[in-house]
Amino acid sequence: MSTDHSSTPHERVYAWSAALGTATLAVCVLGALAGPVQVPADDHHDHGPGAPVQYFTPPAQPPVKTKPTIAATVPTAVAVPVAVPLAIEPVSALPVTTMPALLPVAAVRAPAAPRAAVPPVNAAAPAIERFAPSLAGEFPEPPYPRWARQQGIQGRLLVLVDVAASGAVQSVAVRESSGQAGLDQHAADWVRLHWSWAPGAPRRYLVPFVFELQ
Amino acid sequence: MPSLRPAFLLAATSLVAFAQDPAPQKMNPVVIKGATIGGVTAPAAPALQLNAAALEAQRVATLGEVLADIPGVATSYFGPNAGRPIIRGLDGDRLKIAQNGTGTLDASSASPDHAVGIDPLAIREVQVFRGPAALLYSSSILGGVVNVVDNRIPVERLPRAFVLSGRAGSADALRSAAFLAEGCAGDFAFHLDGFTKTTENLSTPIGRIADTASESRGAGFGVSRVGPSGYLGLSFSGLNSTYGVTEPGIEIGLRQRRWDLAGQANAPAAALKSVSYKLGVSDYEHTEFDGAAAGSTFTNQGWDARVDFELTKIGSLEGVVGIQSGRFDFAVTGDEAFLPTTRNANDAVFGSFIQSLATDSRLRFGFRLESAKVSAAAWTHEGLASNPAAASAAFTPASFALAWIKDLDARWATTLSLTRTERAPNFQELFADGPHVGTESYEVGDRTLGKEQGWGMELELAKTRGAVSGSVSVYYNRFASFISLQENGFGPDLSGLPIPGPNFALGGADELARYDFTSIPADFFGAEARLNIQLQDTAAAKLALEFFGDTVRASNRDTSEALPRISPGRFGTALHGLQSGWSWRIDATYHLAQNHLAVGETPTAGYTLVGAAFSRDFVLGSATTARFSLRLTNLFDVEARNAASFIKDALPLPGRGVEAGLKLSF
Repeated sequence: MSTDHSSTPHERVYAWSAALGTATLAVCVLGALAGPVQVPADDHHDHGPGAPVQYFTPPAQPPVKTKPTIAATVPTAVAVPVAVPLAIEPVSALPVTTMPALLPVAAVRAPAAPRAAVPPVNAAAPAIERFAPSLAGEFPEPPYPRWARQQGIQGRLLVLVDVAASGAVQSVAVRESSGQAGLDQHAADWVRLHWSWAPGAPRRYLVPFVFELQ
Repeated sequence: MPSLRPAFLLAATSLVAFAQDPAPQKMNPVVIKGATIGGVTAPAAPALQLNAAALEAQRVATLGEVLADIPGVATSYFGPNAGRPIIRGLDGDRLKIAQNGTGTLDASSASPDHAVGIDPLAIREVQVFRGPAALLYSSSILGGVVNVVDNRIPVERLPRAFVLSGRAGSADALRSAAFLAEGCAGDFAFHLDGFTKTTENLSTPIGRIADTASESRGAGFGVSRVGPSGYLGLSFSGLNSTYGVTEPGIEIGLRQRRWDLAGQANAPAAALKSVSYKLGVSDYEHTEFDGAAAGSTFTNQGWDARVDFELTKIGSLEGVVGIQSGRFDFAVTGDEAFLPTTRNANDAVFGSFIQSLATDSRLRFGFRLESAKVSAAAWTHEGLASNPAAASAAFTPASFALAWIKDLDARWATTLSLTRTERAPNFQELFADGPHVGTESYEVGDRTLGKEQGWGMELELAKTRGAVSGSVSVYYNRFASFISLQENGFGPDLSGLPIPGPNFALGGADELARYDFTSIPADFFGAEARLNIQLQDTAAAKLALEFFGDTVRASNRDTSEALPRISPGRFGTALHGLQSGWSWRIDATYHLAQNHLAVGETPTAGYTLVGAAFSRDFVLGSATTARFSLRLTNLFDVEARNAASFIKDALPLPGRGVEAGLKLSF
């Protein structure tokens, strides 16, 4: 089927493709032997009372690519400083007013109902230090996963982050699931791999994530 | 502003609710927004996306039909098995179809009876690009660019998924089965999919149409290494398809094999957000069988590669720049050898940017410079008056687009765009000389053709938020030079009237009129509108009323004669909702009659198509869900003829049909 003047370059490309394919497959098999990366279970990270739970507020304006129209739709809501009680609310109880209203999108599934709320972390801890919002650190926003976007999956989850004295993320656990294991893992992986705090004492933060489609 | 009130109330309520808390603590969630309906927020964002959920709801046979419900889009409908989208009256090479960002490398733009080398069963997402963002893919963007995403190369860690689906239909006796498996092992994400599909002769209101059955099989496998700094992946896919094209005894056997390589590096340098690269290598072949004997064979072997650099935001400027390069060899052998063997080279540099001008206005702009070269080998075939020598033609098309977006208030936005587009003539327009069964003509190219050049202007008004949303746009596309296949009035050798020439025998029938590829001045103008009224919107119950419509007129500016095969327009309404677990939709669309005709073209009457669709999700186990769907098409069995089809006189649209599908996810 190949014409004479075209066969040579194409055979070369095919040979390269095949070689690349074989190499990728080989690395894949080796990678598979190493076993999947696990999101640590909650229990491994419930430290003693010495590690206080702190709330995390991302730097004032996370780099959300927001159209001006969005902000303008709910100016009142955005301007209102939203209060959250100290005890951790189930994710579903997070005030929705911090976000622009969800648009009705026919193809989009409703956010999965959060699973039964996990009892508050260290609820019995005598003192909980307050976290002052700080710009010290790197908190890039995770991308919306392609598979979730394509299937119209949305969700909210709460991630518990242990931060080492160096400021590096020591461990990440999902406190409250979005109901979508893949979305939970995506957020947890992202925090573990991309976030870092300024050096200081070991700390813990609860970070709520909201994945929403518009 | 009625819908501000609930937001305000909510805000007030939460303030009251938390007022009792003695020590309130700020806690803002990290909000990640994903766009399903596209938008103009990123320099490379599509104007429109159909995601997997939307595609499943309307699983159809060809890429043309997948998009045909969108205002402004029609399908070329060469029978139930070949259909390419036509946007705003622009088709063929004027409407680029990309597969994961690189060319499809099939033969679908050469003839309307050639299917696009991607079966809808393998498609996970369809993106339509317009304006500056479309310049990332093509220099001919007045209709837009269609990008089909098959997910075969994973770009991120994937949750474990195993999906089985089956579908059966009545109008074409459809039987299809498909599977999809995805997951992760260590840092590796993999994807595996496959499908098989058969259809019998199509049932229409005028009876069953012979030679429209089809049989297709396809599969794809991809694996990626995914890490914090990006991904690198490879995929292999194949499609085998045999389908009838309504011509007695003629069947096309299509085979495509494709390798894809893709990767992305996140933040490789301070000035770059990401660098991504893609390479597609394809081997395409289709043979047109007359009974058991192979008639003509079309081959397309080539590759297409691109590198996209996403720039870090500088001030209020965001942008993507890149390069694209592709080569393909296209050859036809056999009876229908109306083209010489050609080598086609295309290299391009492009960019698309967004500059924020104020909080309520922004400017999008883009450019694309190409270098295109077509080299034809010397050739001869039976019936050729003279044997053309080897020749080549080179072009440097340059296109740019500018769009100014102004938010009128929180809900209304208006966009004014201006586009300059140039397209290099393709191998067919330059070098064709021979009988072409698909278009029932003796096609003759013009080796002296220049670039196709046009200007486009569009004004859009959109309401993006609120219970009532929608958009209206009007456009005017003016081509100084539009390459069109025009009836010459003579037979192939120009020696007389359209009566048989010397050797134009084609299965005994030797009466083919000659058509020349000619550059003409052309005007396209039209409008599109869409209105969605959300009557009810809660998590458990939704109800919406939708109105939509489009219209387009295309004419030769010199002669005021209409251009051929233009879908004149339509308007329709749909009611859709979600109640007690069932999603449903009922729609009715009136398609206008086409009476603005090219010479020799037959008019088409107006017609109304009514359809309905239902689906429901079931939970079968802790990790098993099922979705049942039912679609009813052309409920009143109306005889409808698509004005954009080459074979509208012979073949109406499908008659009344029922299609049921079941999808199991584990």
